[in-house]
Amino acid sequence: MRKNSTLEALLKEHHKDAFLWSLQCCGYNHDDASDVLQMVYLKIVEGKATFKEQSSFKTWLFSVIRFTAIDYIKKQPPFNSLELIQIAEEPIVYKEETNYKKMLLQLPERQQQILLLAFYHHMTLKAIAETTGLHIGTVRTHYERGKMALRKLIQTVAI
Amino acid sequence: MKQEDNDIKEFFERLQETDRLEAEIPSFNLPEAPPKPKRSVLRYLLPLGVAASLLLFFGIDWGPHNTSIEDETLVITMTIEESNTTDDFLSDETSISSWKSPSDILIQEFED
Repeated sequence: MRKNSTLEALLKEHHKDAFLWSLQCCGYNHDDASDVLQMVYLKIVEGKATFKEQSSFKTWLFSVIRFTAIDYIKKQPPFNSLELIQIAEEPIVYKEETNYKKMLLQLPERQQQILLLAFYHHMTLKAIAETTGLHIGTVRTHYERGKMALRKLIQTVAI
Repeated sequence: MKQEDNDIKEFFERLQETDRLEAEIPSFNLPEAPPKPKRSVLRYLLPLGVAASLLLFFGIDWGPHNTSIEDETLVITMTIEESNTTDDFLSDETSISSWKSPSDILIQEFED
C-alpha cells in the first residue's frame, strides 16, 4: 500500500514532464500523447512495467513512455478514412512556436529525441542512453550531429 | 554541455517557453488497476479429475495384493562347462561303410 502511494507521488511529481515527453514522442499530437500517457500509467498500475531502481525514476518513466509511444504509433492506421476526416479551420498558433517545432521536426527522429532529452529535459548522455536503449557512443554521435544540423537551421532562420 | 552550445540552449529555452504557454497538460489521473479475476474451484479440481481418470484408465490396482512373483525368490542358475577334448566333433553315428548287420556274428562263427 505504501509502495503504491510512493509510486503515485512520484508519477504526480513527473506528470508534466512525462506529458511533454509523450507529446514530443507523438509528433506534438495532443490526443495521442494523452492516450500514450494513460497507457503508460495503466502499465505501471497493472505491474506490467516495474521500476527496478536501476536508473533514476525519470529515466525509467521516459523510457516506458518512449517505447509505448513507438508501439502506439505503429498500431495507428497509416491513413484515416474520409468519413473520419473533419474539415476544420486552421487553429490559430503563434508563428514563433510553429517555427521552433517545425525546425525541430526537420531533424531525423533520433536526433530530435536526443536533443530534446539533453536540452529540454536536462538529461545526461548516460541517462539518454538508458532511456533510448542505445549505446552511449551512438547517443554521442547523434547528439553531435543533431546539434550541427540544428545550428545550421537556426542560422538559416536568422539570415 | 559546452559553452558554444548557447544557441542550442536558447533554442530549447524558447521551445520550453512556448510549450509552457500553449501545451494543455491534462490533469493527473491515475487509472484504477482492474480487479484480478477470481480463480474458481473448478480450475483446481479439473486437473485433479483428469489425473484421477488417467490413473484409473491405466489400471492402477488399489485392491488387496495377490501372491505375486515379487513375494517369491526365483533363482535361475546357468552353468556352462567347457571341455578341452575334441569329442564334441566326433560323431557317434554309424556310417553306411562301417555298418555291420546284426547277424554278422553268425558268419564269423561259420568261418571258424
